[in-house]
Amino acid sequence: MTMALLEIKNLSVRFKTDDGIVNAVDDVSLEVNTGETVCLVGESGCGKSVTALSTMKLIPCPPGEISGGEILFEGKNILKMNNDEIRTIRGNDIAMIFQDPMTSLNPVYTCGYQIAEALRQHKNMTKKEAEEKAVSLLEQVKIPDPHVRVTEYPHQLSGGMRQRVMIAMALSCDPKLLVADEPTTALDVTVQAQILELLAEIKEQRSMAVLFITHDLGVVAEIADSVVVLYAGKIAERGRAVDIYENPKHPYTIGLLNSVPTLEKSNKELYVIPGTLPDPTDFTEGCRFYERCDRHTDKCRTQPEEFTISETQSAACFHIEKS
Amino acid sequence: MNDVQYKSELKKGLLKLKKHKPALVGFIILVVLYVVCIFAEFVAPYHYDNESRSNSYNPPSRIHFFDKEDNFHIFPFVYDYGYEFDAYYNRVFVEKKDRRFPLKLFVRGDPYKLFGFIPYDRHLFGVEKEGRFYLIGADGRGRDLFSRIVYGSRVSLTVGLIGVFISTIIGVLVGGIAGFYGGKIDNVLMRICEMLMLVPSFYLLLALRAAFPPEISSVTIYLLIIFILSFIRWAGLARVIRGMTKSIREREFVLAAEALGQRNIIIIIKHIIPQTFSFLIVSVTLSIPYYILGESGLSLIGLGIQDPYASWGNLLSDAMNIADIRFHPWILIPGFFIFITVMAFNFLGDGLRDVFDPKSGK
Amino acid sequence: MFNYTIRRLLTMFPLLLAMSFITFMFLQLAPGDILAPYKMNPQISEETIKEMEQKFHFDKPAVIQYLYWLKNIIRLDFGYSFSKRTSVANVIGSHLLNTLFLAMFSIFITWTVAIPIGIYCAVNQYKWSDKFFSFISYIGMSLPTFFLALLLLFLVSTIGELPLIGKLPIGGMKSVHYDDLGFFGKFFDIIKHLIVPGIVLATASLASLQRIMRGNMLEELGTKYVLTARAKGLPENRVIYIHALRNAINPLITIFGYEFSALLSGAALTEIITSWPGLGSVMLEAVRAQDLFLVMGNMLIGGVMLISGNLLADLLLAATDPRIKLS
Repeated sequence: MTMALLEIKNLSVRFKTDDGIVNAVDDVSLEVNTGETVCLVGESGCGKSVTALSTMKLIPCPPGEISGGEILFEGKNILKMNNDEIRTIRGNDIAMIFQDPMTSLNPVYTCGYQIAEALRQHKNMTKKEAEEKAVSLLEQVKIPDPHVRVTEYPHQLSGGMRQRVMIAMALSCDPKLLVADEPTTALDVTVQAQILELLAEIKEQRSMAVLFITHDLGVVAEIADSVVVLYAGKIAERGRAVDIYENPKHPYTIGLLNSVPTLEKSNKELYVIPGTLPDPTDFTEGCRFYERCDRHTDKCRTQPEEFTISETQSAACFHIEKS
Repeated sequence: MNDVQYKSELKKGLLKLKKHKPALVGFIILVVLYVVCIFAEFVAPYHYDNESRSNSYNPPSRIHFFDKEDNFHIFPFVYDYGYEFDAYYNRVFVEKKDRRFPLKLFVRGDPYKLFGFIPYDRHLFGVEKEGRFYLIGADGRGRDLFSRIVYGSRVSLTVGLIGVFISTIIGVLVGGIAGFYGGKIDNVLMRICEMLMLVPSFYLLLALRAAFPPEISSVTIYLLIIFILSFIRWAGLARVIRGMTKSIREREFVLAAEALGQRNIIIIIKHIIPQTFSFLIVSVTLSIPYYILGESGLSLIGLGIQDPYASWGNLLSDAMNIADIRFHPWILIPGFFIFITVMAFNFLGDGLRDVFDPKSGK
Repeated sequence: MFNYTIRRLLTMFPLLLAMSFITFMFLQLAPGDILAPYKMNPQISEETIKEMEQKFHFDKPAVIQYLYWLKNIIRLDFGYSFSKRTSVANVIGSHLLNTLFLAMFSIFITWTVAIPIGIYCAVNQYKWSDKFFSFISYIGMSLPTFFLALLLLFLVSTIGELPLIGKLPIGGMKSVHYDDLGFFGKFFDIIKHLIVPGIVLATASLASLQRIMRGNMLEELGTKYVLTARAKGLPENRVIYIHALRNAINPLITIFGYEFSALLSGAALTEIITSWPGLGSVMLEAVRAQDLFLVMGNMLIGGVMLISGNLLADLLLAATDPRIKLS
């Protein structure tokens, strides 16, 4: 088996806050292979963004702290790299796009300037070369009149266009892995569809791997090769997209899928998973989904490991139904 | 917020305040200063006007436990001072060691009227009448600097309280009316405020002071200073209150009051203005230093409180004579009192702001 | 931009008008006669005094006097200073430059010290050095300027010679032997005299500017676009100075303008204490002598400088932040 492009092994990240220590990510492991799209799914606050930021060692420490685990990119442990080494990877081998392009772009510099920055940093291009490449990148992300856009400021563009600029910025140095942290959440549905289409095309053309963070199961259905479901900082279930959608095993995954409104259920009330996320400074012993689960028993007072369901699927629950 | 809710918010706030160390320190310092201010006649060993020309610029009395024969005395004592001339014809103070003056508590001294009507003549500490005790030295006329600082606190510490009271009332009313009615009234009032804020304040202070002759009674000057300082300050407050009023006005309970037919002025006073209290508490506390500094600045250059009355500012005017100050640096001490007071108000204000109005400031 | 400037300059006039009117009326309340020193001088005849009264319209009601004053101002005639026996324009002109020098020197000190310290504290948040500078800033902001001036002068008078600079003067603007010095000599002499008043004026604004810079930097360093910049693999220096600082410093530009205008009148007390011959000293003398025209002229210039400073601040802000459109 070829080595995975990105391997997260037993990653644990915690934060010191005024209210206590928050264990945002607890013993999380996942893999992304070359050309694969892995979707990391979960509610707000489940630790998915923290996981994503960790892949490039972007967690602010203090108040954050990586308390355990390794992150191997092409075999090398990112968490052990020094600042210079990690900077050659950021924006170059691994690139990241964020949720809100308005706040993710610097308002006082033009789009062209910000795209060119990464090029000049990693590819040693001159100002002129980088500017020309920026224009061509804007063309690739299908922005009309790229020559004009390159001189404009972020606030002069619409939300969808700004996100395309961010994508162009991320692609500039031909990264092997793209980490996308909820890139479509802040956009309206039609724009969302366009962006997803664009990402799919780009991925094809470059055989780029994508780690896609989202809470929207509709999006996951469209683009994912594999899915990892996160709950309260721990992995609930993982598998190929088809496994998760047709054969979900963890009660949380099942709940999530049931919550998605579909046309067939139009007469009934919307399903909602009862309860809320537990207090992150005070996790109780055992399965963190205990309070909201309809299958919990005393056994669930100890933390379930991930039980293998098939070659491609596993879930962390003692009560996996046999189908 | 109804009354019960408001009171518990207040309590919560005060408890939080206690945890804020600088604010606590500031508060304690201010309490001590104001207590001294109230009991000035008692705390000060001498009346502010008690001169002794032969003790002009007397250095601080050295406190001894051993006399000239090396005998130990439990109670500390001081000697009287006399002066001689050295080889360069400079005046040098020398202790007259022939008679000891023990430091006593509750000494009989200059008579006064406590709170203005209770005749009394005991002072917190001091020496017998024939001796002079200078805790931190004497000024040009031999008056005890410590006593004058204590009396001076009356001016410096009250100027702020009264002044801020006046400017707050005016500022809140003007701002409230402007914000509530909007339209032309708002426009006119805000233009006036802008105008006042655009005037260079120190110049205006001097100019307004100039409108009155230099030789008027200190009481008049005191009131005048308060008036001028308030006149300059209310505009800034009015603008902020006006902005706050405009947004509060749209809230439902105000509309409800209007629908019930309440008179506008009552609405402003009873409903809108209490919403600004959290901001006001902070603003008032942080404004007081301006009055203290304004009065001190004026008195320093001779346009404020005049001799023989004392204010910390005019005590410092002696220090303007830089060449001489080397020989009697204790004249600078009133400045430390101003500094400490301002710091204390700033500490307290910061603490209050963290508790009541955390969105402003960083 | 140009239109905006013109419009702002135009709104200056009604404001100055109102301000000068109020001040003039207040001064008229002053008992005491502006011509008193002349009246007491036996060498000046009654007729001369009557002539002066008519010439300066002192016999007319206050409002009329104001209108005459206004008429003269429009022709740029600021009137006559009775205490200085020369035209007000002369007095103000010679002192205005000094105040400007002092203000610029003080701003220079403030900004070259506060900005680096503010950035340093933001980048090194939580460390001892940050807490130390915070504490010092607090003291700097609470220390009354006049007290600091006195303390510094006291210090200067007791410590004697400094290594490079020699003895620092304790007031004034020029040494006694100023005229004997060459060009550079004169320049350094003035700088030496600027040090104490400059430091005094700089201290309070330095302290608050440093805190603001630190606060702004901390805010910018926590933004998403800084995260993006780091995610692009940019070196930390670039992130701090090209990205964060560029945004953090925007609000400070406005402060710069306001500070300049506030300094021009706020310097008055410090000028008086350190005997720096600027407009502040002039104002004090004018007030003491109840010299009507000099006081009015000074107030007017003070108001103009304040308004100009504010305008400068707004223009600077518009020029540096592409999001702002002047309306």
